Amino acid sequence: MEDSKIQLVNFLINEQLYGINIKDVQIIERIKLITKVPKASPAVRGVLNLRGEIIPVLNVREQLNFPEKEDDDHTRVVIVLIDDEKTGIVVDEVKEVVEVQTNAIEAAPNTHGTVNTNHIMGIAKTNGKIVSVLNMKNLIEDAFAL
Amino acid sequence: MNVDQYLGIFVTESHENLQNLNTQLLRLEQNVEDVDTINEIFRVAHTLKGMSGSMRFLKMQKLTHAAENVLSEIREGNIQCNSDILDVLFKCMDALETYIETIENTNEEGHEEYVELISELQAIITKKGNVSDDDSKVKNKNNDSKEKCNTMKMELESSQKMVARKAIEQGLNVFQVNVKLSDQCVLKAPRAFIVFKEFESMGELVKSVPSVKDIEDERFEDSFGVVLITKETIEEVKRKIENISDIQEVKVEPVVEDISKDNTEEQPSNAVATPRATESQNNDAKRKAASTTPSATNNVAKTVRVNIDRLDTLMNLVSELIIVKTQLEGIDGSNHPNYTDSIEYLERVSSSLHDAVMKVRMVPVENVFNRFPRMIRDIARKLDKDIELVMTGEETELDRTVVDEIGEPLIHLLRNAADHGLETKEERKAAGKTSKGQIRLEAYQDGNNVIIEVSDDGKGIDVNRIKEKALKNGAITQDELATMTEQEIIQLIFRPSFSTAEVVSDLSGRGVGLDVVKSKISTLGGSVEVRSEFGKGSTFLVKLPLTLAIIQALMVNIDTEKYAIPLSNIQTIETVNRTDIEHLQNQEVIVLRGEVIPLVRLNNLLELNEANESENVMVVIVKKGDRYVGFIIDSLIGQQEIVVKSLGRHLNNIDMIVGATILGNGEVTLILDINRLV
Repeated sequence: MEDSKIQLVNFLINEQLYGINIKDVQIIERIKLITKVPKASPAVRGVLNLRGEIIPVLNVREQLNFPEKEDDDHTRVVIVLIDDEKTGIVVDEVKEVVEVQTNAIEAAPNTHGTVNTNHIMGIAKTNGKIVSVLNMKNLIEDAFAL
Repeated sequence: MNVDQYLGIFVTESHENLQNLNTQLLRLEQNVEDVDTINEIFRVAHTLKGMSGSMRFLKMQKLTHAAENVLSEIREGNIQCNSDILDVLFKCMDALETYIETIENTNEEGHEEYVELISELQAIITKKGNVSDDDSKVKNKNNDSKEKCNTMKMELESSQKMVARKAIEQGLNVFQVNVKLSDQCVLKAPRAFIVFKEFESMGELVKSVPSVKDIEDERFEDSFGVVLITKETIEEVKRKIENISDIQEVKVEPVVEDISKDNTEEQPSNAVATPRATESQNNDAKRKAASTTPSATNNVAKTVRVNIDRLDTLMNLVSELIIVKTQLEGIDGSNHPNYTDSIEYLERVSSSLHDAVMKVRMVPVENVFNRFPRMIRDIARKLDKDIELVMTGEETELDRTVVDEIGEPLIHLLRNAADHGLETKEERKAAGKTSKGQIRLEAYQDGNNVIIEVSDDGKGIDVNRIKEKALKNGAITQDELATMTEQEIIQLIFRPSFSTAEVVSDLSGRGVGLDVVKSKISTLGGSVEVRSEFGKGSTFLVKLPLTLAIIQALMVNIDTEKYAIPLSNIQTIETVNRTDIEHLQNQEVIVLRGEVIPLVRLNNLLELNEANESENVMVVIVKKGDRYVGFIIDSLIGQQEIVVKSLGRHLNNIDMIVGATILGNGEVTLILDINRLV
């Protein structure tokens, strides 16, 4: 039953709609002070304190080849739990949670090689909009491997 | 019966038993006649056998049984113990250790049967002749004694007889009940406790053999007997007890005769006692027994096994408390009269709590040290060297996390000392030394650190050979070498792939070596250095922090960021006039109290902007080994107690950062790893 449907947490990055499987999402936080970590890769924005735990935060814009953007009132940190490690990603605005059929998720088209398809698990259509489902595991591994 | 839940206990206890066996065997080697030691070894081996059997690790049980037979022969005096026998027994311990490790990792004992080892063990007995006979005799003897215990008539004391007699007068039954627990019973004492509960629900217990206390402490084989006063019939008692699981056999016999025989003797003195009084007396006695038993047990052991995760949780909570305390300190509460007092009190309480939790986490280094005598013995026999290992300060305590990790590096250092450090017997004689080489392993506390010294009285480190080697593998240039002191050159052995051993043995000298030791120790927040005098021996000094979790740190500003520097690294903080900074081969240095100290600009290192160039700069002087280095910072914030947290798996590999901490305002601050920066 649940196998055929997944819930996606949708959010905007650079005005495009992205989604993450809700099972991976731990919590969504307002952006707060992020401490820079010297010598870490550019995709690592820094670390933040989540109730006594120190969590690395990724700058996904960097990985998706988007320009930098100032944080504002809508900026959120989505904290995901992958392989028992928590990691945060900065998103511009969190939209909604939608349910999609797993078989409705299609492979991502590689538009002129500008998108690292490794980072996108597939695309889904919901309410007439297209959501790119992020492959968080790959995103995280790549961010720290750089 | 499902035994999985006992697996953890089994593994821990087996580790302890094996360690104990190793220690005792070493003691036996010192004095092969020591009867107490032999008995102790036999006892522990027997326990191990029983435990492995009850957990259904039959291969392990078989091996232990074979070893036990040899031990039994030694105990009986049929075999004279010698080093060769001990070698086999030690091998046996290793094999058992392997079993336990396999069980720990896979929950199964694996397929290895150690057939050769078992036949070696049997050969020891055979050499002394008529093995099988002896073997079975031993078994029979065991069985005999068990049987005896099973059917033994229990002698009642006079007061107990009286109680029993009164009971019979009241028309109650008095039975002697013998219970034998099944072989598969894992937790005998609790099982026996259940049986006792059952007895008590049926009537009164008058006597138990062995005593209740012994049974509670599990000091019994697998059977025990009681005298029971009850209304129930023999069949009923038997049935009720047999209903309890893990009971192999129950024998119930009436004990009427014994008591009635004694009746005449006892009657005069006790005739006055009414049944009621007897009952209350009996209850009193029971209560007394109940109250004395626990207190007596308390003297034996006051320890509780706690899962390390729970301790970590506790530690985390204490850390949070300290963070909140720091937060409160930052709040201006001057308009509340009791504010300062309360904060101070909170501080006292939280720091006592912290100390207490830290103490719980502390374990003596003995836990690591106790495996070394065995290791050195094996190495000595292998290398044909005469080595004496002297250990002191085993009681020195370290944080559990450090103790868990320090074993590996120490083994390395000890092997090095035995293999490369100490000369062969002949070389020692030629050098005018005693043929017996000595390795010392010393632990002691020094302020907030624990020092572990590994020293040997061997040949020491040949500085010239290190020079050659360093030049050859390009670790260092001729120019650099010229400026280095002898001690500095010796420290080169900690560089990667630096082994001066000419012969590569399986003990050491494979090139991976001291650099691994060094990096392991620095991940623990410690440092290692070596002192050596050619021809006289070497000493490795391992310096470890007492605790890892909460440290005193100096908070500093660098550009817009805050960083923490562990206070234990810091020697002094100096204000230096810019004009006093000199240049030495492109390296900024200052001269402080006659010492030339190289400077490091932290903002460059951390890829941060240069702060305003004022006339004076702040320099934090840190000491690493014998060297001093000055770090230029922008400004000081102050000293603070900080809780060290990990940056997580992903960011662990950043060299300069040892961890992070959370400040009172919730901000994360990184902790600089001074040992790596120097």
